Amino acid sequence: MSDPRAAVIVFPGSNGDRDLLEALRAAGFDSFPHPSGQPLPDDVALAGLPGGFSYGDYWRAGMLASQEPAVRSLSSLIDRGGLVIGVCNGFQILVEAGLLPGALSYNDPAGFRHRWVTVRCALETDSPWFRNVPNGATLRLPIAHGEGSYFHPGGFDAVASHAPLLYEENPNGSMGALAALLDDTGRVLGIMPHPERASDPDLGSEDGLSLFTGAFGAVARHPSPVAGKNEVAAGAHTS
Amino acid sequence: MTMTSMTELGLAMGLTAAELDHIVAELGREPNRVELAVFAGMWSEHCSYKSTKELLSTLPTAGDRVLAGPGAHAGCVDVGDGWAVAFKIESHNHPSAVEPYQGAATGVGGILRDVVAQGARPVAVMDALCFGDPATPRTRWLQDGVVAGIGGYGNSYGVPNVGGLTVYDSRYDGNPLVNALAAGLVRHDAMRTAAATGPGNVLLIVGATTGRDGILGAAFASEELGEDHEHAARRSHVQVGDPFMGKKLMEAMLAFDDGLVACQDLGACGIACATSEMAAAGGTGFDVDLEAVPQREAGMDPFEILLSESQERFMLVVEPDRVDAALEHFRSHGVHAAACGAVTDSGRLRVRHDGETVVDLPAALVAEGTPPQRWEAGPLPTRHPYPDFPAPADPAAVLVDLLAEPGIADLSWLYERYDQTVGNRTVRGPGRGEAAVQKLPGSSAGYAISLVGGGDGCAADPYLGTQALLGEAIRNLACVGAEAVAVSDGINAGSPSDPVEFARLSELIRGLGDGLRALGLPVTGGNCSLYNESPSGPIPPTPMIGVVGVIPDIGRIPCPTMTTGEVVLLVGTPSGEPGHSGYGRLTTGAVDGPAPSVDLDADSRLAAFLVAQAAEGRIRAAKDAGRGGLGVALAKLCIRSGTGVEINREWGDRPDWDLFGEGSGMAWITAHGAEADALIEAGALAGVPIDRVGIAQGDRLVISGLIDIALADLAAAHSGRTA
Repeated sequence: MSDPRAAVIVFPGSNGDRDLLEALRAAGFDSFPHPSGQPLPDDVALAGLPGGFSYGDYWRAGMLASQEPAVRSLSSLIDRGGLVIGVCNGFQILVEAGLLPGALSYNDPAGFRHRWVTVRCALETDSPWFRNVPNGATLRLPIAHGEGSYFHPGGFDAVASHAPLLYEENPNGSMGALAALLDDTGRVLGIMPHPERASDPDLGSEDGLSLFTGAFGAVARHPSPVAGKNEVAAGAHTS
Repeated sequence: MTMTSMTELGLAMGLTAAELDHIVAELGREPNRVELAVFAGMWSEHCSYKSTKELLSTLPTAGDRVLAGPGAHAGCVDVGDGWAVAFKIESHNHPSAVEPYQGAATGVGGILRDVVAQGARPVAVMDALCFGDPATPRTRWLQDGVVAGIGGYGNSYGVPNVGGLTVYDSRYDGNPLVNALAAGLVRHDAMRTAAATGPGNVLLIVGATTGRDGILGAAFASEELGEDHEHAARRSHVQVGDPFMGKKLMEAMLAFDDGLVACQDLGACGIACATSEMAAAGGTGFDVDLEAVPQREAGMDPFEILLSESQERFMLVVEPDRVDAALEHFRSHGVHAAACGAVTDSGRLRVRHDGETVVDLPAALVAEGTPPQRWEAGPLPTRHPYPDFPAPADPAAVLVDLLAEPGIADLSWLYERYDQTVGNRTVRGPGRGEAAVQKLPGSSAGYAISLVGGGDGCAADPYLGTQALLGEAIRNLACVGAEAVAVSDGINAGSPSDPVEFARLSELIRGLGDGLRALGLPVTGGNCSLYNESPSGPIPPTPMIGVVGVIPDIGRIPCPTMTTGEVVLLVGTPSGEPGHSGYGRLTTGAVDGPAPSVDLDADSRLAAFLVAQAAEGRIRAAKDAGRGGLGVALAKLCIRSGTGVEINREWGDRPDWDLFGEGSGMAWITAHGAEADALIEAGALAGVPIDRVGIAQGDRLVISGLIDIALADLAAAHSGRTA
């Protein structure tokens, strides 16, 4: 059987697409770049929204990108049981698209910040992204953003049950030190740090790869979102 | 135009009377107004190197690994596996002095375009900055703007900033320096050329539209800076950067090669420069139609279109039957594209606008015909050695003071403003090694880049000061297991019309050439920025030196940190003199001081030894002695490692000079106990002094009989500004 396909949506101004393609490939996916101006093909098991400055961040970060056809087609992928990850700018796009709740605003203290940080898994979850990251585990990942301060009008309590990763030291003023967020299905992950840049021991850490191998394990165990999308639509591998 | 008015206009544009005479003699007629503007831009110091080209021609350029040298968009060196690193330094000093954010941002954008023009995907940016007194509000304003500009462009574009240097010295108060190095990766067989060949091939302009920004920026860069209140009037010379457009354009450029004959980025002097240089390089000419150039505003004068320095543009020469596909390709990437001319065999740059020929000039005369400008070299300034000073009662207090010095203190707050890891290549970024290290795609091999610079040593002696920097660069590379292979030089100096400044510039370049020959290294390109003077005086002659090294196996490079229990070895001989040093300056307050102590043979032997032993996997951590000498190097290694040391060694009559003096050929390394003897044996064979002097342990830095201080105190002193 061929490897499950993973589309990395390339927006004008994306700059982490190649890194995300590499990490997904390292985890076993047949990853390929997909232009944001077209809806996703039906045969993908996973979609990745990479980091970068889509549309230059010239409006609110991620806002313009969230209107793109590829993003509008994500809900049908999710309905089919597919997986979605948005990293950094990709997280901002998922929030702007309404696929994850809340908002990401300017860092506090203000300014773009690159730093290696430690995040802790703080959730018992069936999310496929966390098959290989048990509750309590820590990951060392880089952050590189200026608008990563997570806000929810209901406060952190409103999203605590969907917040799988928390910063050990809050670098950006996020509510509850939230570093990542899952949707209700557990299949859509927004994450501000960069796991795709921590997927090669030569580059300082391979902790991030465990998220992608977890996703691969889930998809490989249920190799259906593509071939048998009806089966998936029937809920074959929802948690 | 009468001869008199032509002369007046030409002089007002910055041409000299002799140059105007030369132009008339070569053309056999007077140039018209547009042609005059083209000459004024292209024959400015910034574009023509008329004051320095004879000096720079003395630098060695040949090397086994050199694939493209000076004259290319960016120098290219073979780093193995069929890959080349394309790299170059450029300055953006004057724009940054008057508009720090855009000046720095477009400096980064400009050097990235050089790398892209070479066909390379940008993989790294480094920055070399010189600011004035850090305590002044003006320095704060400049620094905040420059750092934000470098980050604002590079972060969005998606190229990691992997290191650099920042100097603070009141001699840069009136004229800060902003130099940037960019590096890219290109397959050997995918390198691109600027040579426009094949009459009938079509000229394309792609990227952003052409506006009125940055007109005659090259001429502005070739004058001294005025008083602060005059800067506002200069802001219209500064270009405005758009990293989003730059990123789209980079992707479009790298994805295009069907029918591509030649390409060049549009920088200083815009279309006038690109067309004349591409034609001159190919021995051809161009017919250009300015109305076909996509313009940002209506009613632009032909000289404005020709000389606009609007950012994010390239010119391409494309085979005629591929033009439609090329235009479609670029437009599909969201950038403008238009055919605006054709290659001819006339050797002339002919430009039409509104039905008239507005320029008809020999391309080679415009691009390469600037008469050399020879300046008188006066005597070098007298040196002032440090006055005698006694050994300090408490060397630990000296160490603390040195660690807190601007220029030695930690800059991680600054580097946090830059994305360091995008692109998945960065093995060692800022603060994580003596040089930046990146890995090649799908390979265990890698390359390293060291960027060093500053004018402190060069103010005392430009010849030796430059060589001291060369030595530092190859030591830095060796500390990450990399063998130096090629150099890009960014030279910043004062006005050549001042005989003293011209003498210093000449000595700097002579020192660079002799140093490169001593080390067997070629220059593959670079930049020379003159007229760095303000009403407060000239800057010190300031070279920025970027050196690329090769690493056969990144799995074996020394760690950035040492671990408790490792043996500490001292490689090299402590200087036994203050040398030209941060210590001497801190202690005596003398600004210039003695000539730097340089022994490039010692640096060369040290580097070869470290590279060989790193390849054997024997070195755990390595740190060479630079600013602040062996003492500061050891303290920084301890702070970075979170581990103390205990050192036992006999020092000379002046232990403070041994510890804080600066010179060549010194480094600390650590090793597992079992490897120490092998290292000492290998050092004896290589003619490198090496001695086992201590052990990594505890949480204090102890040099017995001299220093015993808690790591936490050193770290606090070193931490610098926390922004």
